[in-house]
Amino acid sequence: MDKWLSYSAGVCFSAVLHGVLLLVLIVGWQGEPELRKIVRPQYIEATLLEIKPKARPVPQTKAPIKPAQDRAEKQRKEQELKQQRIQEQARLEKKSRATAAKAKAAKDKAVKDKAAKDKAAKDKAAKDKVAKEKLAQQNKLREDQLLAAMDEEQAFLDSEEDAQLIGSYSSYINDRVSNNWSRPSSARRGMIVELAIQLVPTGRVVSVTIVKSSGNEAFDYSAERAVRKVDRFEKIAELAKQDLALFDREFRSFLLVFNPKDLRQ
Amino acid sequence: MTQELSLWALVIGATIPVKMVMLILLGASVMSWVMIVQRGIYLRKASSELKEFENTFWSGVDLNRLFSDGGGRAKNLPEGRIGGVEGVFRAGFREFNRLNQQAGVDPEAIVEGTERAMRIALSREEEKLNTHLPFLASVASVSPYIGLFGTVWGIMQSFRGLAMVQQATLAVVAPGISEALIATAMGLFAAIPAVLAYNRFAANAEGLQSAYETFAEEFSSILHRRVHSSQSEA
Repeated sequence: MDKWLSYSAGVCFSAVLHGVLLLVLIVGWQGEPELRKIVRPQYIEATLLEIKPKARPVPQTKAPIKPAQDRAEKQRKEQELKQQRIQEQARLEKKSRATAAKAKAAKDKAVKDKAAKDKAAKDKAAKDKVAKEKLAQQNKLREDQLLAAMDEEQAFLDSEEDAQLIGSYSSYINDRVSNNWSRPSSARRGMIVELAIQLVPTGRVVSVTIVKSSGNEAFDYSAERAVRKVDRFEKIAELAKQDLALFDREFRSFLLVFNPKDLRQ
Repeated sequence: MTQELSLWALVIGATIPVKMVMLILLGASVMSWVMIVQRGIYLRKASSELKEFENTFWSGVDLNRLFSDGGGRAKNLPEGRIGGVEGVFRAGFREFNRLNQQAGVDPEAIVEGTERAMRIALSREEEKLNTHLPFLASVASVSPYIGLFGTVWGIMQSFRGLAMVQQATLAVVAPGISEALIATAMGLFAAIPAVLAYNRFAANAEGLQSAYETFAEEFSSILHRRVHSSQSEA
């Protein structure tokens, strides 16, 4: 009796357990994939943030150029209008003169007629000449303006590119200087010395002068010595080979703000 | 169903050897759970009976009455015999009385005969305590291997399928491997409860067995004393 009871209890329990298991298998328990979907938008936001700073400069670059182009176009239109007006005036004058000449011709006949004709021809030639000159001038002006606008745009693009280049070179300079710098014992955090450095296209340091002292002579001197110790900036020499104009503009003589914690040009 | 790739679809879509492995494991799991519940009930009952009997035995009750009470209860049982620690007691006491009533039996022989009878009862009890435990042990140790076999077979098949496909993508192998891994999961599902139950029940059975033996020793020392006192009186 007892034995059978315990066995039947075992059979019942086992059957129920495995039945539940099979049920779970058949029906399945979903819901986890939906949870994952909620997480994803955060990643998208992160990528968006990266794009924003890049997108910002674009309108800035276009903004200054557009007005210039607009201005150029406006001027061109105005000049065209002026020209048309002048030509019309010339035509009107010509007509009035012609009618006057005709009246005179009726009065003074052939002698004066010839003189009037000559004069009209002369006038016309002079007017034509003036108009032509003006047209040429205007064309030149327009071209100049267009070129100026293009230069401006190119300069802007260049300057943006250059800014990155300059940044990388200035950090290179900082690295070199700070690697050669030996810390004097009296150096304290927050000490800043400004050095005026002159380079030649070979990258060699020509002169170093202290522009603004940190107030600590030893520190100033150590910074100056560090620059002298570098002696030659190889990368600057390479830059000078590639783009002498940029070198002349940025690195022939520049200010180095020497700050042991955070070096900046 | 194929789109969702539910577990049931995987089980249905499995190859025949994998299906057989799964069936074997399901059977093993069902059987082992039957054993677990049955053993749990039996061992709990045995330990509660042990406690109860020891309480009454050491309460100073008359042994003859205890024996006759037990005999009355035994008639109601289907086996006609009381098990557990009381069974050991009854076997010993019956033999003792039988030998004691016979005249001219050496007291040492009486004690020896009683001990032998109790030893037999003990070994019978031991057998009862340990039934099904070997089954649980084998399920615990073998079903992971069976599951692994199913998995290996399933993966073999899915890789063979992969070899025939020109463009091998993850989607070609993944269902096969997933299906194959179900076999391992089932093996572990069968094995883990079996291991736990085996360890627990083996420890319980061991404890009960040593308690029975201790009782047998104590009881035989009581009988020994009684034989010698009655002998000295006579």
